[in-house]
Amino acid sequence: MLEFKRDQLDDVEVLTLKGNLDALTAPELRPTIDELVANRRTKVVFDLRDLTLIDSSGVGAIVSLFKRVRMLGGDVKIACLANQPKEIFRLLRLDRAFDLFDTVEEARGKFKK
Amino acid sequence: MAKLITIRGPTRGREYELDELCLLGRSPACQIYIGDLTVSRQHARVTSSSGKWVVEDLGSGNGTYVNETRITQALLQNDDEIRISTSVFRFVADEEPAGGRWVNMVTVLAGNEPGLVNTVTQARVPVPQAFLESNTSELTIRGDLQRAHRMLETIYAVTEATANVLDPKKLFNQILDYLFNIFPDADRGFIMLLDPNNQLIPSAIRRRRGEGFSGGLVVSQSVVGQVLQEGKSVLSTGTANPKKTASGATKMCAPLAAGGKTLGILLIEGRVDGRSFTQEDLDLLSGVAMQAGVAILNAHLHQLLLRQSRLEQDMAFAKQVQRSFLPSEPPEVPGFLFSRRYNPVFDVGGDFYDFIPLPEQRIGILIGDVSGKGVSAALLMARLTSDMRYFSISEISPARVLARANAALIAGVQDNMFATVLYMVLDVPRRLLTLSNAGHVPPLLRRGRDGSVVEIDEATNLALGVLPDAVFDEFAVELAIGDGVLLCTDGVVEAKSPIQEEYGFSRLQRAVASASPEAMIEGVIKDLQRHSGSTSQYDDITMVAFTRRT
Repeated sequence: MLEFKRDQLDDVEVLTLKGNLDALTAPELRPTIDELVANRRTKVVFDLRDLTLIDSSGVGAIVSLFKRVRMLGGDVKIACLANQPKEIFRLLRLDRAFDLFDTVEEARGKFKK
Repeated sequence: MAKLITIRGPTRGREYELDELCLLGRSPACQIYIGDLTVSRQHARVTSSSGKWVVEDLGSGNGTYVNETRITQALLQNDDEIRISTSVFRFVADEEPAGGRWVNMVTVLAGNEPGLVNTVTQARVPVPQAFLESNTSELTIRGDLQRAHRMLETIYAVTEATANVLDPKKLFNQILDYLFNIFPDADRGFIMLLDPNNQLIPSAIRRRRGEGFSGGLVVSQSVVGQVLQEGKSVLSTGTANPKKTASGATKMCAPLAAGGKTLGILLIEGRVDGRSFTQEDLDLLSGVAMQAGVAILNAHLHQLLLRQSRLEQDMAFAKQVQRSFLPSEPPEVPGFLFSRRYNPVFDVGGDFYDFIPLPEQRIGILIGDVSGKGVSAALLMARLTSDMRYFSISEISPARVLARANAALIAGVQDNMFATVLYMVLDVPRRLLTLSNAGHVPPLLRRGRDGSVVEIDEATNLALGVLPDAVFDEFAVELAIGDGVLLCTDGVVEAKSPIQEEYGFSRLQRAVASASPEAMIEGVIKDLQRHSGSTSQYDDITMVAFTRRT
């Protein structure tokens, strides 16, 4: 099960994911990702506070948005990583690609500079 | 009104009032249905144009005759006889006789003598108005029976024609074809199906004349709502007020439903100059829609099955591709022993490993995991394996090899794919192991002198395929006699116990207790099985191990 929410705070898109982001649910996120890219949204924050599980397909979905937003000159930042997803991000050394933050506000703040 | 009267054949005695278009044939959807196998399904048609009536053969097998002359097209005169196989129809031109109205003759006249023509002629005498009124109920009943019969025939025909059509596009066209035959006044037909978000999506559109559209579909929301919510068919004037349906209905809309689920709607729009649709037409449309719903559901289920089996075929192919890229035997290296284990859960896993012979008595050792499953994963794995082989020969440094593989991966694959790769080069004469890790599970090093096991967490970098300019570093370690190295994939570390506890690094470290590579792997497998108990293997498990013997 995956629930996701999209909010626009100023010019930053905040995607809040809840539940599992895996091979089954990652395709549900795809249209939103495509839409963000199509609309050239270059400032994206993932709020992963309530994400309980992620697998390689789930990471693939986030990486996909990351790569495409970077091509547009923007960035994807990650906020509130915890539990299993935090461990996966560590194992894959994704902290070397993504800026990680403890709160959404912090992540948004980084875009303003 | 002009008519055709059957004077010979299965329908003899019947009179047919001619509309602008009348089809004759063996298809029950024809206005004049001839249940005779020597008749083509759509054999001929009679059409009118500015008061003149024309009969045309529709490329039938056995031909159409007018007064015993075979025709392709002929102008009809009063009392002309049209013969189709053994059926003969007399054409009665449009003349309003004095002294009464024609009764729509529905009785099948008895007797099979050739004198039948006379009987029919008798039936054509004008009937006084009073007689008409007194017999209304009986005539209505007969008319109803005829209509019911027509309706059953039509619905049967639709069922028969659509039962085995499993390609949705063909099916939609078939259904619309039938509706156009049944409703000569139909100008446009629409099949609109509900998508998963309950939005009506036009799935098939048909126009009687010409191609393309002169205008968009105008259909009142309340009509569609009524059809979808109440599951009722509706006649519509096409104006803002859908209640005005008693006369002048130019549109009919019926629900498509099956298995207790509303699938969409069937909509027929009449010609501007055509006659209005009636309740009878609507009933017929509802009947067809009912059968069409079942056929559409069948086709949909079939598509799902088809997709499933196509997926399975793809998987089988991908499995072949993938297996062909994995080395069948561990390498033979002087002074070293190698072993490996590959236990995929799925037909096509994302795990892979390789041994690459390199110049100057070096050997490349590679283990990795590609994101995703199935064909795309197998192809990515195949590509990565060949990239790694190519770069490992042209670059000496493992970090450089990974950097180049990363750049190639970024440039050429789907953006949601990435891979973890642990790559090491064993310099055999120098007993030196140099490694670089791209987000993969770190290898374990077991020291032969004291049996201690450490995780080589150094030189662990970002996974491949994420960042174009990712930086990779490397780490070197000298191997003493008796030292062993174990490489594995995350299926090992993340294997769950019945209470969902991960196997983890500390258990893995303890399990690496033997001096030979085969026993090292076997020890881990046994320990894993103890940990997992009844829990079935969730992910691929791949391990590569080697030890320095001398």
